[in-house]
Amino acid sequence: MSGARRTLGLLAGLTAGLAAAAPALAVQTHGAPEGLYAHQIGHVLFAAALVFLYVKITLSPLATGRGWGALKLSCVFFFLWNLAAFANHWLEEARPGPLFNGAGGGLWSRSMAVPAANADLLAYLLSLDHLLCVPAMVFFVLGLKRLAEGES
Amino acid sequence: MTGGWPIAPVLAVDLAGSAAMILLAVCALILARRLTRRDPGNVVWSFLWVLSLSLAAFSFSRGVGHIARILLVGAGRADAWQALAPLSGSINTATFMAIAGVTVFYGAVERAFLDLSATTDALRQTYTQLKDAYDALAADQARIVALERFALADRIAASLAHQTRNPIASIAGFAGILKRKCKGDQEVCANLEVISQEAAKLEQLVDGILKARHELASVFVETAPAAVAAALFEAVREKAALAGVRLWVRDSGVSGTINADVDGLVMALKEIVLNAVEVTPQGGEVIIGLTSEGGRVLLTVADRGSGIAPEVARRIFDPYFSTKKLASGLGLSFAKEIIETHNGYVNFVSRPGEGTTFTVSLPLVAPHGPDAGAPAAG
Repeated sequence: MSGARRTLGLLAGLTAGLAAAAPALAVQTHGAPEGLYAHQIGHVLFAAALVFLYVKITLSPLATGRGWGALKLSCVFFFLWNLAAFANHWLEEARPGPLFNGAGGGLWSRSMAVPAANADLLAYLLSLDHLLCVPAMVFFVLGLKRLAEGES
Repeated sequence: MTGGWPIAPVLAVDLAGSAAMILLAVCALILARRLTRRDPGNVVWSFLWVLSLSLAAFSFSRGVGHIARILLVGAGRADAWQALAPLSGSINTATFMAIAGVTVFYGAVERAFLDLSATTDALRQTYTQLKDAYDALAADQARIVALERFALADRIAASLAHQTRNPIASIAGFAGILKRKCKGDQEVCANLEVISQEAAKLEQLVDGILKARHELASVFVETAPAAVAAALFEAVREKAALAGVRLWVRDSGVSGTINADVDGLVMALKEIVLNAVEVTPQGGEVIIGLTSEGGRVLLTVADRGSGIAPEVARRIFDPYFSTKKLASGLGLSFAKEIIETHNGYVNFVSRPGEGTTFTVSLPLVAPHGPDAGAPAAG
């Protein structure tokens, strides 16, 4: 009986304490720039992992033949894509307004004003980043195809 | 439309690229699955499968996000895209982390694969060794069983020989006594003669068994090789005739004598000749040859049978080895042993499909007396 009484006392004390507590900032909030930081860190980790995989495949006694060579090329293109995407996000954050503007027109009729700053020209080119990630995926598929065809 | 660099190429590349990434991700998943299904235990293929899954998640989330953005903003629903963008971006970021995590895992995968390969090789080697040991044990066990069986047969044969030797001697003795008393009845005399001859053959057989077991001393006497060949011919003539095989003795005129226990030696040679008869097709011939060379007499037994295969030739004189069903495998082993007790040796030459020639070499007795070595007169 005395044990039950002690438990009830503790619960009552805890409830009173919680009700009287001031905000202690125990739960961190996630404001606007945090998403961008996380995304950029993701790009850095993605790129670093590809460098690691490229080196491992080059040094590996197991990974020989054209299939693994294609996978290495895939690593190179994905690495370049990460650099391009990272740089483009950075330029985008640094720019005061949008890259493309259109006076009341639709999305497809927008354009980048010229003459433009070098950073904007670079951002325009970097927006074509699929020209890097699609070849990366093509080489990845080619590598798997050669391995699936029986290459060691 | 304002002047400057248009957005259209960027959007076109974005749309086509996003669709291509989704399509390629599906291809990668199919190929990686094929690899893992082909060799489910291969950790490298498993790694590529997980990496393909991560890249597919990245391609789908990014591709769908980009297409949705172009379609929604293009349709004037920028507000809807604003609501969707944080979710799309977060998923995209999460896939980066997943790809990085999976990729870094490759080092551990490679180590595991190499360790597994080494362990598998060691296990395979151990399995082979165990299998060899098991086979050797099984062979030894079979040999022990065969030896026990032959030891038992040997004991039974010896027991029979001991128990029948005296009755056979009695039969031969009484047949001799009766033969002397049957002068008037030719038919009875002839029958008693048959009894005497068969009893003599049985006595020879029993003596042979006991000599092979060293329970009966061999009796060596100086004998002409031609007499041995003649006795051998008589011993196998009947069986050769039954088999339809012609038997010849070709004596090149060997002079001198050999020291031989004739009964034992004939029994040994009989094993060789009967083997030759058995492998000779009906209508064929077996030739017993007699020549001398360098103080030795060479008795040859030649057949034109199927010959002896090399793998059989290596073991032909081994005890208990036989290619025939229901054979003890002791015949040639016994013959070799008897020949060696005569300071002789036996060998053979065989060509598969052409026949076999056994050669038994026995020492001639050195000439003695005052005229020894003198040229023959006339």
